[in-house]
Amino acid sequence: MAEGMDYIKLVKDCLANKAEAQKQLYGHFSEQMLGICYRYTKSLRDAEDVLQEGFVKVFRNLHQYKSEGELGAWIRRIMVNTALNFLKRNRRYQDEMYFTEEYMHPVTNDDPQMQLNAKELADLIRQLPSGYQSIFNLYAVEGYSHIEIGEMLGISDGTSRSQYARARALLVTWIKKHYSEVKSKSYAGK
Amino acid sequence: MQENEFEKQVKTTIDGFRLRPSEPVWMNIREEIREKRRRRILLLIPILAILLGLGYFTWQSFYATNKIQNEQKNSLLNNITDNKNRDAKNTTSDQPRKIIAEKDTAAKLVTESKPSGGESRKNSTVADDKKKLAGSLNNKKKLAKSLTAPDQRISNAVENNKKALVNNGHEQTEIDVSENKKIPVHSNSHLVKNEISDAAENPLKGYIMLRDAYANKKGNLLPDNKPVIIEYRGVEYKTMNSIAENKLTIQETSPVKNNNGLKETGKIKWGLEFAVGGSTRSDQPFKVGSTEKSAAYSGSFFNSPVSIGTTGNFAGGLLVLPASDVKPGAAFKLGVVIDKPLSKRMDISTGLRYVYASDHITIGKTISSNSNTVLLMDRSNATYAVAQTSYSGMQPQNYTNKYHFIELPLTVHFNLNPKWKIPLIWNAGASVSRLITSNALLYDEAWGGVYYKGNNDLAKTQFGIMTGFSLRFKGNNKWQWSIGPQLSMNTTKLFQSTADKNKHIVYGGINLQLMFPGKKK
Repeated sequence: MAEGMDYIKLVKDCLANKAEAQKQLYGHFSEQMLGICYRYTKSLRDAEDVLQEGFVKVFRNLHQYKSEGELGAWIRRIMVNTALNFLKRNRRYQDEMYFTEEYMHPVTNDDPQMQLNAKELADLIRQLPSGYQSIFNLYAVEGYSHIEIGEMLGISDGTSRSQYARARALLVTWIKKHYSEVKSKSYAGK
Repeated sequence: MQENEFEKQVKTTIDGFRLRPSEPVWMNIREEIREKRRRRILLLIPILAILLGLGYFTWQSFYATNKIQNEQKNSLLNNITDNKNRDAKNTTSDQPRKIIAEKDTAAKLVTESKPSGGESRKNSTVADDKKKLAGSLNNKKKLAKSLTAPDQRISNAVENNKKALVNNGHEQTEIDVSENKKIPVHSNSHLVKNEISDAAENPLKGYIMLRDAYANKKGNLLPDNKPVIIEYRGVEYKTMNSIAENKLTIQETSPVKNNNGLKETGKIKWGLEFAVGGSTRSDQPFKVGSTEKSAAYSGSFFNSPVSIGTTGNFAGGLLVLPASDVKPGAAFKLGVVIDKPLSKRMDISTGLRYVYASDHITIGKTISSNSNTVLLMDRSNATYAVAQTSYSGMQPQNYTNKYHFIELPLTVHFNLNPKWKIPLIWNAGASVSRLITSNALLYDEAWGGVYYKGNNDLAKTQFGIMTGFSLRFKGNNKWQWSIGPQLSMNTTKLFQSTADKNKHIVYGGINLQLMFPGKKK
């Protein structure tokens, strides 16, 4: 979508049930929002389900949007909440909320230099157990505090903190592993 | 790498991540938005229909009744005025009509109605009187025909009155009012003379007939100088007869509280009620009444169904596992009901019934535990405690929460189309119920999510609302039964625990009512 888009007019048109405006709004934000949904789910299909549900909520609650805030941030919050609700509802994700010994004892805390592209990083985050995945996304990407995360997920902030530490350590391990694999491949190539 | 550097890099990298959704996503979104608008319209239709129904009902109850009463009042007042004017005229003109108000008027009327030579003016007047009398009696006939079902009683009473007049042993005179019509008249009765007089002149004979019907009931004749309350078409009138003046005084006393037609209140019916359907617990945005809460927890504890990993050990408990999905269970209601009609369109009922409700959840294996009361109160401590405990592998099992209530309902039934043979009734009401017993499991976030038995934590007294529609059938011997869908919801919260605090029992099903023939009050 073009720069300097008039969001206020767009929202007004959407509220007036103009199909063209609704499609424009969707087209403008859908790719970014699907990227968010993708990080919280385990499959693209689930991500699209969340996206669909989230956008329906967006259109139904558009009258609540205060024009002083950024529209993208408002939609993003709705998407994140929708994704969390989806995880709570979906038994498959609940079943994955367990922790193996491997996860409980991460190998290292050394941070590698980020050598991954967005898709690779998103895929690594998606490989985390659901509980870790949500907390990591909420804290590292969305920027919520552990207290806020605790309230959102119905856990204590201490739990959120410890979960995040484990998720982070696990992810660092995987990134390092991924980095070393890429490096060895490149050496082998030479 | 510095603290937060990792997060910054992650955020920077991931923020640019975009994926193009597939085409059907937008189509589905568009469809859902349209669906919502359609649902809104569909929701508006019954609301509008209900409002229209209530409006019509209100109009019927107040405006129409007042109109009828005013018309009747005006008609009666006009008749009285006409009679007075006529009496005054007759007094001055010395016409036969004056004689009508005096003793043996009827006989004179008959005599004078026979043509006698030379007095053509007089004869024509008498002939006119005869015509009027005949017309009036035709009116009487028409009125009797136009009487509605309750009015039929009055018509019968009038006939009885005529018979009584014939058989009372006094001298009888017959007045020939038309070619084929003869009405027996008691010649010594002022009342009869009044009746004839009024019959000749007053188009609203139904009123007089009512009066005499009453008189017949009380002993053939209306006692002189004593007021009698007569109800005519929903309006009460007081009459006063005077032999001396031979005048009839009519005044409105008090309107009968009725919407239209004769009063229909007073019949109390009782019957049986049976409903069968499904129930579940659901989140609702409002509540009525208070919940009862106890600090004591007791009984067995169960794992949340999803708490065990592939290793078979509950190793964490660090995340709170959500409660199980609740699936609807069977429900039924059985009781007695008492119904009292308030008007032609509305009746009210109450009663006492037993209510069984249930729902299904999935729980894990039973956990043996010691003195966990404190743990349930303190989530963080509970988490810590559970982390130190190991549990055997999960064995998911279905569990049925059962609730047994005694319920006292109060329901108003609105007849939406009383003229139909099988009327459609809209039922709306409220209820108060008492939980007798239950095996329901409550969910708590402690220990990473557990189910436990806590009857003391259930709200024992529940307030509820209900609505529904039913078709009312009338069988032989005034038996009546109705059937239709019913939806009810307890507005009081069912539990007072952490995660289940907004749950209310919702019931939906088919309601069957069988009402026995009522007794007159």
